[in-house]
Amino acid sequence: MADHVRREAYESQTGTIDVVEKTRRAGTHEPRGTTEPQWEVFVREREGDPMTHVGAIAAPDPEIAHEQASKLFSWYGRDIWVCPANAVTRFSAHEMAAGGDSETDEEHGSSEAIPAGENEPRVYEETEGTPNVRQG
Amino acid sequence: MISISKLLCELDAESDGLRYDAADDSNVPQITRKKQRRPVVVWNTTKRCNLYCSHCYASADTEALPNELSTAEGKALLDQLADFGVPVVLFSGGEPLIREDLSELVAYAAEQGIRPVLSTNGTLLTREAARELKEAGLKYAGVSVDGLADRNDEFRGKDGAFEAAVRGIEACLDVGLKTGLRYTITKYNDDDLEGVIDLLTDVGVDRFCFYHLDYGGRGADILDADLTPDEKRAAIRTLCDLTREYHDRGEEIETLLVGNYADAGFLVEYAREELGEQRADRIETYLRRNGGDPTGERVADVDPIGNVHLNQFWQGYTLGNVRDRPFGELWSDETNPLLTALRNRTQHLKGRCGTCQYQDICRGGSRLRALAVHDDLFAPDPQCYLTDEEIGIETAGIESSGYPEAHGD
Repeated sequence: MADHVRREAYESQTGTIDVVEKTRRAGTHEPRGTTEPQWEVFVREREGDPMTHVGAIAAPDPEIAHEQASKLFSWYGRDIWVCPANAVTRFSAHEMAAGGDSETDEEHGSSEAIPAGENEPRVYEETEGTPNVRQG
Repeated sequence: MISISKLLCELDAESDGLRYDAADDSNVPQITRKKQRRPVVVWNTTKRCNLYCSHCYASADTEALPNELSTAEGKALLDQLADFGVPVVLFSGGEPLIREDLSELVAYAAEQGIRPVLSTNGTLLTREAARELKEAGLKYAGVSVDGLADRNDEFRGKDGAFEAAVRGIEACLDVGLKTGLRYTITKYNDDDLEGVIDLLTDVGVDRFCFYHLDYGGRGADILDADLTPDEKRAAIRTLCDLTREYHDRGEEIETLLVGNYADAGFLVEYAREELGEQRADRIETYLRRNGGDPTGERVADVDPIGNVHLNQFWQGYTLGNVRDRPFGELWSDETNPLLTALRNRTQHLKGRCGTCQYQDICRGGSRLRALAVHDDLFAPDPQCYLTDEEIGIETAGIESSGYPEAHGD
């Protein structure tokens, strides 16, 4: 019996009430690669540190994946692991929210509100239609 | 992005101080000293394209990816970008006009307070499409042309592409949508620079954006098409001279450079030689505020399936996917050593870049090119074309760095 099934059976028998809200996690096995296979990269900075996920790289096989990852992270970490991204099934409480009503498709996700970001000042330096630079 | 025209032609040497104006649609206070804090985001909306260009960093093809962001997911992405305070989203591809929901996404971006701009090959830009995009809130359409007709069509893999792109530009101009040229300078087309500017100026274009070749996607397969340092220097000098000639004649074209921050140092040197010490100092002050290469800081990229990249050319590495984590979390994750290192890159730069006197206006140029050529993230940018004298280092020091010299005279 799976743990969560066993736990629910126990709770229904004993009337135990959860005081901590359970996190709902949706799973996905959708590809995260574009053309080449993707490899999730993990590094350990020092002996005794945990492995840390540091992104993913595109490479045709694990040897080249390791080579590419080493170019990016060998200056930083002592251990580098790569794992095929398609071997990872992702379970996450984050669900990509639906952005308003779509006229083109109806594949809406959760409409959960996202907290408003900081009201940062904006300067348009790196885009088409750059600001005017003039004398002050 | 470095504006030749503003630096060389529009800065008045008699006045004190420089300042940025907020863009015309911004309602935030003018900023005088702060750098942009949020990145401009390039969104490759689809991998599909109707052309097949030799230098395409996105490796675009005839087929879309099976798992591209849907319209609803695209809007959710725009929500994420708006929440994070992203000022501008550049709709790119593949060819973004192939997406039937492009106008809907443009309108949604505008509603969220993000300035929508477009990068397109122009061949699908009919007058109707241009009008629809303008009405949706699009602020600018950059149309890619890579040479006069014959060279452009060969480079882009389709006869008639040049004429179609020019028709697309005319369609934008007809409906009052601001448009400009995007041009990647290579060995194939550096001879056409002047001719393309002349031709498109006659059409009515007044904005010309020139890209250096970066070594990502199919661009990594044509390194031999990249200009030598000497050729780069000559091409940039030509653009500087042309810009000034146009302005002297009263034709105020806007010319910009992207993808090689050695250009920043070159412009200072050019100004010192042509316009005097005082003007050169003022230009350097502006460039210092501009901040040098923006990779991992002021520019980000989201690919068709939601992977976030350090810039649009660096598709081989992804920080994560917006389906798994919001963009703002990925971009702010200080546990990522690569992201942190790029934001503190001057502590890591080696060789010529490590001791260059223009480090604060260049910041080591392209780390992707350094990686592609030297297998070292912090090695010198192999396409820096400034001389040792210009960057203020001793030749002996360079030789001892172990990296081949890339500069020309």
